[in-house]
Amino acid sequence: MRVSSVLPLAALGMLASFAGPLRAQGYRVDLDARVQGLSYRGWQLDSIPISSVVTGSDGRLYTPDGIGVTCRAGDSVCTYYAAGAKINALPAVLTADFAVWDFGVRGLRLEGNGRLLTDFKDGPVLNKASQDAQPAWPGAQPELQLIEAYLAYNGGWFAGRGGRMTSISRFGYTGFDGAQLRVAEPKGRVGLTGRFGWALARGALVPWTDASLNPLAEYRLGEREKVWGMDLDWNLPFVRGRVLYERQWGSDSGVTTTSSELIGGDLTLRLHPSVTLSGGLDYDMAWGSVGNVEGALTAVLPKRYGNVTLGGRRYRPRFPLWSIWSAFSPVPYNAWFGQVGIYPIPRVQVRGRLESYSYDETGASTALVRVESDGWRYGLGATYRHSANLHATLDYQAGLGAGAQALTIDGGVFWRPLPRLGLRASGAYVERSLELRYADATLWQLGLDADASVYQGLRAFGGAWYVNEERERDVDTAGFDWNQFRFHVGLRYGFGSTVDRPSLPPAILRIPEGGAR
Amino acid sequence: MKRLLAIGLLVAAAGTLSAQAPTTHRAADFLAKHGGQVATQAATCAMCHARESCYQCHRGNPEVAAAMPTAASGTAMNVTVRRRAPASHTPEWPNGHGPTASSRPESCAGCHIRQDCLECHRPSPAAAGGYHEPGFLSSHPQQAYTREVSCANCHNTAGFCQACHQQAGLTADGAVTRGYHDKVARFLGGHGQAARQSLESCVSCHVENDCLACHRQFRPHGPGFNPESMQKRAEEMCRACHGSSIPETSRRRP
Repeated sequence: MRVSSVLPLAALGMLASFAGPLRAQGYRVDLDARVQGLSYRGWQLDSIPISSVVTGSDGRLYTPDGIGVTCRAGDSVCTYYAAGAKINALPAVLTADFAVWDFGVRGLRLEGNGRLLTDFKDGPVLNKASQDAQPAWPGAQPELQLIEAYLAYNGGWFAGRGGRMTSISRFGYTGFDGAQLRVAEPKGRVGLTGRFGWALARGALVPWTDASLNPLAEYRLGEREKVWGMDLDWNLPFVRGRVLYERQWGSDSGVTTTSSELIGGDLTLRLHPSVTLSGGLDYDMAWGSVGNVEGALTAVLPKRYGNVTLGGRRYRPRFPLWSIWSAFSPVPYNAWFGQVGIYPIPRVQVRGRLESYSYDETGASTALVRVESDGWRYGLGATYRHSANLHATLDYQAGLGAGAQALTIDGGVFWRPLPRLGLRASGAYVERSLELRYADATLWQLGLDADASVYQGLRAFGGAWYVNEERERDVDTAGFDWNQFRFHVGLRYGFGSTVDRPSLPPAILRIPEGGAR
Repeated sequence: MKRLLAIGLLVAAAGTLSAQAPTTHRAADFLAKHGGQVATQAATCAMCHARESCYQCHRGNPEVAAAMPTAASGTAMNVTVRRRAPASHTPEWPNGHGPTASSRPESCAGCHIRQDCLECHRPSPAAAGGYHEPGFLSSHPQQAYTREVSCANCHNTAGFCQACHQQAGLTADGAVTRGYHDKVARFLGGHGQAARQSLESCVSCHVENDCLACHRQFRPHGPGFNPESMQKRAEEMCRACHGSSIPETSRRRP
């Protein structure tokens, strides 16, 4: 446990508890504090003198206690992977999200979102780049994370923002420190947006230059990347869409390197009040070829009987061009899917999904090693909704093909015995095997979660799970278990100047009618 | 007494009927279109709804309800709105909402605030469950390898995947012949197909030097490689293997 992390966490929590409402024409604040306890387990690389290795009845080589070893010609030792130690993690996060608007100047708005994090348990290894101890659970570095904080002004036909913000598009969640300007025709149906700033790393809240993003001490640019982009969007009665461009680049020792340069677009067509066609495509200018593509046709069946979707997607991994990985030519993944959700009888929803996928030709297959290049996955599920206060779900999913097999069965019952208290009992069974290593996992878990509205705007939640997991190896004795209890507890408090506070938390409200997981 | 009871029942029935939403509200595209109707027929909406009705959903953009009277004004009944997801929000919606959300993010902002997106796209390390199903920690190697989920949309592959794999002893640390991939005999000699199919999984444990130890000599470029375009944008990447003189042959497409 690091005391230096606990003190600011406690101070911010107390400050939030006693702070009075801000003086503004409008404001909204959400505070969320939570902690979870769990553990996981990996492998420990070890070696043994070749003279100590024994030959098994199958002709393979083992340690005296039965773990398979790998011996290279000319080496005096053989290597093997034994079960690693159990790693306990206790990450805690305090998140503050706020918006203040119309203070003094109409149309002016200040928005922000940040986190204070710590892991009360240290991991067993150091970050090679920073030589610091790492938190036991990933994502808990750095300890203070600013997600967004910007001042925005809406002047009608134009709107500007400055500060740390996130550009949300098909290129991902691109965080940056900079400015953004949007101009639009009077009714806002067509708009043009431009942005420029210093970029954050993809999927992170710090730049690529931050040591926390380089645990293995790989190549990195020495200076922070810059980003600029622009997009044209339109929202007409039956069609809405966006065309966008984005470039990121950085310099190191006076040499400028483009990290990524993309152009793409998204389109949503309402073909009929009940039928929608949506899709998107991006073109990687560095590759000189098409990157990711998605498309789906969704129809709502008459009388709210259900819905049907047919679609496809193509995904190709994208790496920064300052790394060597793009030169290794990752190939696209293509999938076709269909899914249906219907209400055959009142209160019962039945759903199903089928997907077929395959990879493009890699040009690297050999007779030495057989690797699967396509597969199937499917799922079936049902929800019985007795009332808003009592419903149950059960889902079954399976996958066959590349990456080996997986099977998941999970379900749960939600019950609200009191208007302010919700309880959920859940269970899951998982089987999965890997294609490239003997490490088949069999897991079952049972848990109970509770969610209580303690006071207007104040919510408390928590839960405990028992997890029984076996990592099996048919070939030797290196299997191990992951059995453990997990728990999580938290508080969420929201307040604001207007009555724009639904009585339920957003996470609950987002659950679609009919009881999706 | 019977007459009083009958009148009471009639009043109760009338009250029940009056609480029913108009049939127009049941149309499949009502949610998508109601904004335009409020803009042109606010007085009609205000016969039942007050501004507070709108706030049940529009918590992030309360200005859209400016044309509606407040409940305190006493001119509207402030009929409670039961928040419901639009028809597009099927159970698979979380996995396929990208193009729709990207084509017009303002439409999402009608109901969602930024924090709703960040809960998944910038996940909190202390959040238990959520987007992923129970048992995901065990099934994630298979799901990530087969691209059932797009990990990089939410997680940084270095700070998240590599950091945790390092803790769990799943880093190559410069050597690639220690026998981790033991289910496939002679995997190193034929790993190319698996690597090109799921390179993101490889780099969650391997660093660049693991691969460059051999691939400085064995060319890794495959289908789709465009040397001119890459060299134009990131010549330093070419120099990592080719040094100061990038061979002319590498400028041609393989």
